[in-house]
Amino acid sequence: MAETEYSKCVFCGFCENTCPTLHSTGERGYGPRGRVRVVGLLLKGIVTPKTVEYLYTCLLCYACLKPCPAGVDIPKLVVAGRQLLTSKYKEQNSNNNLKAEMMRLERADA
Amino acid sequence: MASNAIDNVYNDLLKAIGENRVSNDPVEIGLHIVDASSYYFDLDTHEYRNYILVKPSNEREVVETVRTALKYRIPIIPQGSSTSLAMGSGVIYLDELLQYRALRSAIIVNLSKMNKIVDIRPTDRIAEVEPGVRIDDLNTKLKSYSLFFPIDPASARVASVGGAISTGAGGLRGARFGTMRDWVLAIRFVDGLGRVHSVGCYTIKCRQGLDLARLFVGSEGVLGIVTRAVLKLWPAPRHVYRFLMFFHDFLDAYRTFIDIRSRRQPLVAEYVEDRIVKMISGSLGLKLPYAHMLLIDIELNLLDEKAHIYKTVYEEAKKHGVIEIRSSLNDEEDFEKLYMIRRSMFPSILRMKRKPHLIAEDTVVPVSKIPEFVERVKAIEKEHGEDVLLGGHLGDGNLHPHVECDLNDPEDRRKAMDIAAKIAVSALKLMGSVSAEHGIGSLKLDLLIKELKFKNSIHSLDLMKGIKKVFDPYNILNPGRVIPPD
Repeated sequence: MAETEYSKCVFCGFCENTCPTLHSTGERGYGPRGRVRVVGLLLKGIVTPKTVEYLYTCLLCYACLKPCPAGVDIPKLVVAGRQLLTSKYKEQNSNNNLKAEMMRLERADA
Repeated sequence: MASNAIDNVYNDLLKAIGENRVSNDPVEIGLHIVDASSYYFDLDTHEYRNYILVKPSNEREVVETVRTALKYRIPIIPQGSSTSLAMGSGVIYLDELLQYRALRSAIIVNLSKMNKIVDIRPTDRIAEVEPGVRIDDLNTKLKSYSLFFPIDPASARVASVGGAISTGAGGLRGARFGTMRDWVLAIRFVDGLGRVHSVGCYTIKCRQGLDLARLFVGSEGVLGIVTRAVLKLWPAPRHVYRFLMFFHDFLDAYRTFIDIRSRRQPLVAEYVEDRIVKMISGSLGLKLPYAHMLLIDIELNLLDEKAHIYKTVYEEAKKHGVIEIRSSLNDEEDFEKLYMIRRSMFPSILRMKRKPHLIAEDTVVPVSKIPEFVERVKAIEKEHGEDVLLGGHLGDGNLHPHVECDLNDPEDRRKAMDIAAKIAVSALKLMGSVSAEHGIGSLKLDLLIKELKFKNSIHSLDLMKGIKKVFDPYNILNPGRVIPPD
């Protein structure tokens, strides 16, 4: 599902100004367009602690769903990304940076 | 660039501007190496290490970045919101053999963090802003002054002022308000030697030697990096009448526009062809006539004019056989409903397309030549057996032809480029141009050469190359874009 959903994105950025988290940092990874791309990178095996930071700061508020001209289900893709990340993280127990970032965000969440 | 050399660049930048502003994290890099036109092409994983991302928050940091790039002779790619449609703001480019390639190494300078509205001077009707300010955010701020910035690219919600300056953007209000070059009074920028320039004036009248500010508009980051701009503002229209009309034939829509325009210059005149209207009906589940759409906005000087304007538009439309006409005066909610059909053009083509990719061309012809241009596009369509869908800015002659294709299939890609080239030649023969508002980037370099040759002015490239050399003698700023390589 993630691949199909990702391939629909055209990187137009129409989703960005609806995103509450993007406004908090201004960093592309904190917006829907960035998160879609992050999942795409994840599918390619490009993962760093930033992947965790960007995907887990999404509020899943669905504000980005309506303005997307290509009909990408961005929240669904973010969830798929998180699932992929968790399974990847389980495989890569040795990746301490990723683990530390996930733990840090879990703490912040609590 | 060898991996230790890119590490040296990174370390130098860390020292000069600090770790919060510099990144070599592959995920962060991955978010910034592509733009809306190169998104389909990607690099091998190991190549991500060849790039550094810089997110300056002030002019000094831009200067330091340019100085570091100069020391190592590494290219700089300036970018705003990365919505370029001409491969102008990522590391991927189209070479002279029309093959996609990536710069071997680069510093990507993303200006989104320089997003302060420095000053709004209502009496002078100007705003001074940093390049990362988004056009829509500026207009939101201007509402309380009853002023607005009229340049309105379809991507205004995301497009930054810096990007709009670099591409010389236009948009829906082109016929009434022109493009960026008409609205930028002054620019501060850092050139390819790290020198800061301040060109242009805070006043409408300005004779400061050669007009470097306007030379800079549309230069796509090859002459310098914008750090500040002074923009002209305009009183926000107080009363707007919006009309949405459907016609059996393109010519009926066109003639209605011409006749209305002879009575009152519209703020907006947009056209969408019948096949796209059908796609919009399908994708939005609306019951629209399978017909050609014309959307017109007219500014009223006084509310008293409303009956007169309505009558004028209605009579002209009826004369040309209008099938259906809807209208709304000063009602934001209704406006949005009427505009939705035009706004849904690109999204609906995207959703209903049969091939994986969509190329939106950017040709423009004088308004009088539009009917002939449409005829020629139909002929090209027939010749290649491929749909070329037309829609866009009827008011200024900038109808965007949309061609579907599979860019990963070399045969199909060549065919799409062949169609694009033929459309471009048609525009040229009708006194038009290959790019109205998207810019040249690397995607349209071959079309730029075609245009200059057509106008017997290929030697003008020497002037462009010479100008580039003065601004950026070591060719580090957005190399390979706008100006064809030797």
